[in-house]
This record gives sequence, C-alpha cells and structure tokens, in this order.
Amino acid sequence: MGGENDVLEFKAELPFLTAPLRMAKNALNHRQLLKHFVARDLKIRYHNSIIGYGWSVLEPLALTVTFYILFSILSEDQDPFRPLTILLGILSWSLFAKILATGTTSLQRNSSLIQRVYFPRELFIFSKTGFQIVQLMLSLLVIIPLLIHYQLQPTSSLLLLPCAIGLISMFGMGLAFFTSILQTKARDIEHIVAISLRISFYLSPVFYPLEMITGGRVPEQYIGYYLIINPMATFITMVRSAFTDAPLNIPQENILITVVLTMAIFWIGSIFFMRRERKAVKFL
Amino acid sequence: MKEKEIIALSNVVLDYPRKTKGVGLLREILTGRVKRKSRAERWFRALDGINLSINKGEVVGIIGANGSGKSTLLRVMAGIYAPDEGEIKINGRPTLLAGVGTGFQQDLTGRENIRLQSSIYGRSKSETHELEEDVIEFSGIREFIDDPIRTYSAGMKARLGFAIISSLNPEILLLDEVMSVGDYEFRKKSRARIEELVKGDATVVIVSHSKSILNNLCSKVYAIDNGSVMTHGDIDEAFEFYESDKA
Repeated sequence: MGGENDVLEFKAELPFLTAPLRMAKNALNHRQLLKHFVARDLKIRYHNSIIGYGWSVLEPLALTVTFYILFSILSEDQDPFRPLTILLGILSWSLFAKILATGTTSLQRNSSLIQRVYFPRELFIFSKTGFQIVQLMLSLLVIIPLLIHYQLQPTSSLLLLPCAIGLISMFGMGLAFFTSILQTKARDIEHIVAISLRISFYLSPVFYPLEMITGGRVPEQYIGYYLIINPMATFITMVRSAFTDAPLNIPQENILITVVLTMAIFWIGSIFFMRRERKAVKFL
Repeated sequence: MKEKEIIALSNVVLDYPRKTKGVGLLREILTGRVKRKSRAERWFRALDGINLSINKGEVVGIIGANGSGKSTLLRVMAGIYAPDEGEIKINGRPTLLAGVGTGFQQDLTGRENIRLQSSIYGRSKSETHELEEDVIEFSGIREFIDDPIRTYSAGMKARLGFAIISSLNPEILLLDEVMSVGDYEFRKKSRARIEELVKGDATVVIVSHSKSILNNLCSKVYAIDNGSVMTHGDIDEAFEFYESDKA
C-alpha cells in the first residue's frame, strides 16, 4: 500500500531529460508485473499447442535449412560454419524484428487495459522485449548440437553475446518508442514497420556473412556508411563471433559509432515516448 | 496540499481528439486539398477547468448527463489521462472500477488471471497471495477457477472481475456505474460489498445516474455539465441542477 509520503502528481508538462533513468526505475518498481507479463506471453504461446516449445525453434530451423540449400547452390565461397552462421543470423534478426513489431502495436493492443489502470506504459514495450529475450535463450539451445559438431569450445568471445543481445534490444526498443506512439494516431505505422523489416532483412547479413558485403563486392567507400545506417550488421556479426571466436573484421571506430548511435536512439526514443504517451493514449 | 486532502484538482483542462482520419485524409492528400484544421476543430474540451478537493475518507458522488465528462474526470483521477492544463495531486493509490469483466486473458485460468490482474493493479506477491482466496470465495466460482477464462459465461467473468477489484482494498476507490453485474443474488452481494468499502476508511468517488445510490452512499454530490463542476457539493443542489439540466 502507498505510504503517507507518496504523492502522485500529474502535471501537464514534465521535464524528461532523464527519461532512460526514470524508465529503469519504473521497470525496477514494477518488476513483479513485468515478470507476470512475460510469463503470460509464454503461457499463451504454448497453451493448446502440441509441439509447444518446438514451434519457437522450428521456424528458424526451417529457414536455416532453406537458406543453406539455396546458398550451397548459388554461392561458391566456403564458409566453414555455414548452418551456424545462418541460424545465428536468423535468431538475432528475429529478436530485433519481433521487439520492434510487437513493440509498435503494444499500446494499441492493450488499449482496454490502458483505459482502466495506470502504470508506466513503457512496461508494455519492456515486457515484449523480455519475452523475446527469453524466447531467444530457449531457441539458442538448438545450436548446442552444432557447436559440438564443429568442436567449438566456449571462449572469452562468448561475452560478446550478452553485449549483442543488450544492444539489439536497445535498438529495437529505441525504435519502438517512436513507432508505438505514432501507431496510436495512424494505424499505417505497423504496415510501414513490417515492410521496412522485410526489406532490411535482405539488406542485413542475416543469411549470409558480413564478409560478403565487406569482402570486395561493395566499393570500399560505402562500407562505412553501410555499417553506420545498419547497426544490425554489426550486432549480428557480434553474435556469430561469440560462438565461432572469429575476429569481428569491423573497424573499431565503426563499432564505437554503432554503439553510440544505438544508445542515442534509445535515449531520444525514451524522451519522445515519455513526453508523448499521455497524449497518445487519448487516441486509443 | 492540506493535511486531510487526498485528491486535489486545480483548473484541470483536458482536450480529447476528434476522430477524423482514414480515407478522407488520403483523398485530401491525393487531391492536394489538405485542409489545415484549427485546434478547436481537431480537439474538443472534455474537462474545462475542474476544481475539486476531496478529503480522506469522504464519499463523493458525481452526477451529470451522458457526455458531460464524468467518466473522463474519473480517468484523470486514476492517472490514465494527464491534464493538458492545471494540476492534480493524489495522495495514495487510486483504483478505478469500470468495465467489470473485461480485460481477462482468455487462455489463462481464472486463478492465473487473478494473479495477473492483482499485479497489474500494483499489488505485491504477498498481497496477491492474500487476496486470492478472498476473490475465489466471493466470486463463487471455486469449481471453475482452474479452467481457462474462455470457458466462462459472461456472468462468471463479471463476477470474477468485480471480486478481484473489490478485494484490492483500495485507499482511493473510483467507481464508474458498476452496481449491476451478475444475477440478482450476486447484485445484492456486490451492493453490500460496495457499501462495506464505502463505509470503511477508503476515499470513494462514485459516478452515477442513480439518485438513490448517490443519496444512500455519498456525503457530497457534485453536478457536472460540459466539463465543468456546476454545484458546490450539496446533494439536493446537485440533483436539482441535474434534473433541470435534463429537462
């Protein structure tokens, strides 16, 4: 129960330069609720389905097999870990794509709840992200046989995995902070997001290694721009290196720019979200 | 904020968007005839300078015609909408009771929904644990509590919904015309439950059209019209205004 001193104040305007910190505090205060939301999504996902957990790995596996066959026919260069490369690419990409897609519609889908009870609305985006991270962890179990097959031992590179997951989540949430608010006013946004995701799926090194882009087919001067406008290229490569221990082959300053850019998107997004959500929910 | 004051609204203004979207807008863009609409055309004023002060333990009624801004006012008090101008201070945790029986997860069981709803309303794990048994008892659907909600009838959902919210033991209860859920027997039970809550130390704001309910429960009643408070808290004055307004 609320103590004597917790006075809620709702003013028209609020300064929100510290938005990410406030969000973190809100998430911490409502961690019980976040846990419930993630558990709910998991339960609903596996309720009434015979294969249950299998479905969350079947789709990436099927895609991997398809792209593997396609690549074995079309491409002459030899990637020693090709199935692993493709599978990790697809899993990392779907973490990002699903955070962004479900985040975009999260306010709209929960309109009846939003109109009944107040809690910080960024929790909807956080809980979707939490759910996708749990899903990714479960899906990552299927690469264990591949790791054994290639005799890949866990090395210190494995530390890249949590970093990459954190950065992918931040990038997805940062964008979802914008799209979720815009979606309340114009329902077109979710379709724009879906199309953009489909296009960038092919433009990102998801089912091919980054070396196919950096390896000489694309003029040198464009590679820097490519890496900057497509943070996912760096993050997917990080996930792959975490398991294969291969060098990243990305200039250090480019990695730095990507990380800073991702944090900036998250930061500006969180300010935008916190300033706009009170007005946006009126459109639900 | 004064010592006893628990809800304070000063000059609260809230604008609500008018919905003009879709094909009309697309046609305007395609034909190059986008009309710049003024702010007054895009928004209407749902609350227009509300001043209200409610003390701890008071039971306050709000009466008004449809569309006068009653429910919006309650939502502002619950923190769902932030005022566009003015200020609102609430000393405690408000719970809005509206639309009972909605917002359940169809594929989860009754028990799972109790836990989820309880945490949505900000209750901790131990508080949730304590209220679970009470909810099951009061709703009278113990037999079906571990079945998925989608197998419930509308009445069962309403009973469960009411049982959950009324078991939350809120310090500030905001009621939006919910006195009639379920069958006769349950209605009697829920009416008694509300009276119990009202007579306890909770601060209550009730929005209703029913004179008898407000007369029975409230110590103050305000009439609102066009987003403004029109009376000063006296019950008879509020009813008089409401009835003259309707005529």
